[in-house]
Amino acid sequence: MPGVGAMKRLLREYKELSRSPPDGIAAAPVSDSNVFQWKVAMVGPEGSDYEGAFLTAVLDFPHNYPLAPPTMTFTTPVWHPNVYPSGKVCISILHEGTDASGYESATERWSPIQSVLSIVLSVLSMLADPNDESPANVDAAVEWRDNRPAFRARVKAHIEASLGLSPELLRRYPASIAASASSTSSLL
Amino acid sequence: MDESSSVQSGSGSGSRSGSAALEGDRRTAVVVEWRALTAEELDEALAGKVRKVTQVFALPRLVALRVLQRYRYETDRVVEALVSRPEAVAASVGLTSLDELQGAGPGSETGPADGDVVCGVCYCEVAMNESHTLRCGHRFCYACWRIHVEMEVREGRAAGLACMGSDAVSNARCSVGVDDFVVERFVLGKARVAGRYKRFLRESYVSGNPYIKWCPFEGCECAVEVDLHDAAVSVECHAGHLWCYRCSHEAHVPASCEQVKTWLTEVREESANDNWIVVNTKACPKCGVATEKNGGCNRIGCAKCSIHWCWLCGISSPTPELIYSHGCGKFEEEQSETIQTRKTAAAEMARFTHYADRYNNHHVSREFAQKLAASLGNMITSSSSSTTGGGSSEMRRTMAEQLAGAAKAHLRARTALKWSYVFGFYCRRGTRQLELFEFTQEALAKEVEQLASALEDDEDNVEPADVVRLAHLVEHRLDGMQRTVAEGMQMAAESGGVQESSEAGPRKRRRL
Repeated sequence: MPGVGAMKRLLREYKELSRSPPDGIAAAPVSDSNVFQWKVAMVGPEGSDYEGAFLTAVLDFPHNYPLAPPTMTFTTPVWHPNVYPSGKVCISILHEGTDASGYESATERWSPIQSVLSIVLSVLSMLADPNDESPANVDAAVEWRDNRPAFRARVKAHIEASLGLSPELLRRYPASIAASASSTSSLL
Repeated sequence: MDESSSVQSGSGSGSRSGSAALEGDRRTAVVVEWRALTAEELDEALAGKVRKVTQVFALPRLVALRVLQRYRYETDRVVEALVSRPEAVAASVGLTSLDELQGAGPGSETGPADGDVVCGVCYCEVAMNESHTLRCGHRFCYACWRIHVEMEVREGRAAGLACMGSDAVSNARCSVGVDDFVVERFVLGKARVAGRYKRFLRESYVSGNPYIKWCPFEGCECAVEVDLHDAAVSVECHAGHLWCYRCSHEAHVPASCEQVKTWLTEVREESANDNWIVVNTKACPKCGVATEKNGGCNRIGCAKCSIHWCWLCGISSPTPELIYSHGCGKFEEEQSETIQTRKTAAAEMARFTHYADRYNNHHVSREFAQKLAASLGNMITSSSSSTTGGGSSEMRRTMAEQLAGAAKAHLRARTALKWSYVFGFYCRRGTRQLELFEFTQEALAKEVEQLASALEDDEDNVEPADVVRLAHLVEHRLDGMQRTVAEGMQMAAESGGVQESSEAGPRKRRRL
């Protein structure tokens, strides 16, 4: 019983995404045998600091999806106030509401009608429009707020790395690049 | 079997309620009514309030429940507000008008019998009449509603159960509360889910209601309702636990909540300083054998030299009568000249130790009294369950009831005695009132000792009539002590830190 509903729903989402793929987004389970982990690839939103970037991430779904949200972790380095140095994405719709009086608060948080597509769209809008109020990466948030040119330069280096893995970035972030290189090789 | 007073001897099980005079307004005693509630009675009380609101204003059950929660379960206020300003009531639960409160308007329906719809959660195609939407229009299939509701209830949400949708533009989680249909179909249908749901409703009923509190004793699921908010009244729950409604501490008459708090801090500090050590054994005054107290009675019969002595003051006698009849509960200041003359901290310390010793002694005895009352209480149940209708078993049952009633009186008196030393410690010395109080206290202590001894005697030697007589005596004396205290002892209490702060604000009274 546990996970059957989640599996059905994930397969339906996958079917829908492959029938009419949205622009600049690709998403699929890592393998036929495990629909609870997906790889996602997206192109940085136009007009943002991440324009032209090719970003990959992993979605890990709980067995009671969609009642509980998945977690999303970038596998390419992303310098952003709302992305932990580990790559884990921190946005409100991936948080479960724990308000005991529920019906009163109307904040942005996870609901079972969210989907892989709505998550990726929210993440793209987060890339274009960071929220520096409760940053996951404090250094990135401070730089974004106080020194925008330096922030942009670092993002640009990441973008170049995500396209060609420049030796400069490999020297600076060896571990995360190696990890993402090995995981992206099996993507799509 | 009803008990009409908080200090009356209880016999058997039955609804517990009572009234007690508070010496709040100096002259005019404030009488506080209270009654014990079981889980079922709490459910019934809540259901009754919901019923009242739903019937008068034709509100759906859940809307009534949420409104009541917002208005701290004060039905009269809800009714008044619904009549005079329905918009404010609606706004308090996120709606805009009385019509919306009453469930009119769009949505909130199960689909028509024909046609299919895709559920927003599982993405399955289901028949329209197998799906349900609240007034927000987010439509889901029955299966997903069920899973959602069961998960929410498991996590402790009951009155707050809401839609599982979210706004398509803002991503804000939909805040529309579920309707009666959802609760009836997906919550109440399954016993386990319904049980949890009701428990959480009950918990929010108690926590949101200033006139009801849970019994503070560990593991107890009873509650007590009072008619005066924040009243410092001793109450007894259905499990027989005695506690103070205001401070949720063990019942502590005649001491006040503030005295208890100050006292406990002081005792903690003293024992941390090693100035005051909890004494577990004492030496027999004649043969010196280390003696451990194994009952509540202070008359010790030495197992080695067979002398009788008083655990409290150490006086000894070859016969038990003298020990029963002597008094040692009063602090004799003039006895110790050194204390009088030095007037130092040592004197204060000696005074404290005197009271603390007696307090601690009755505290230990109280534990025994609690166990005794519980075991005698159980005897009633076992004697009634084993009854097959014979005359002798009927008698056994009556006897068990009498003994249990006496044991409860003993527990109440022991508890009051324990706290009377705290009260005494904080009283101004040398007044007529204190003298009167200490006289009563001493008499009560003696009578309690006799009752304890009679109760703890071997079962074969127990003469129920004697026990009942002693219990009546104790209850009468306890009443007397409480009256003495009520008649102005409070005003004689030392000004240092024993003001009744609760009397400051206006307190609201409400019908039980």
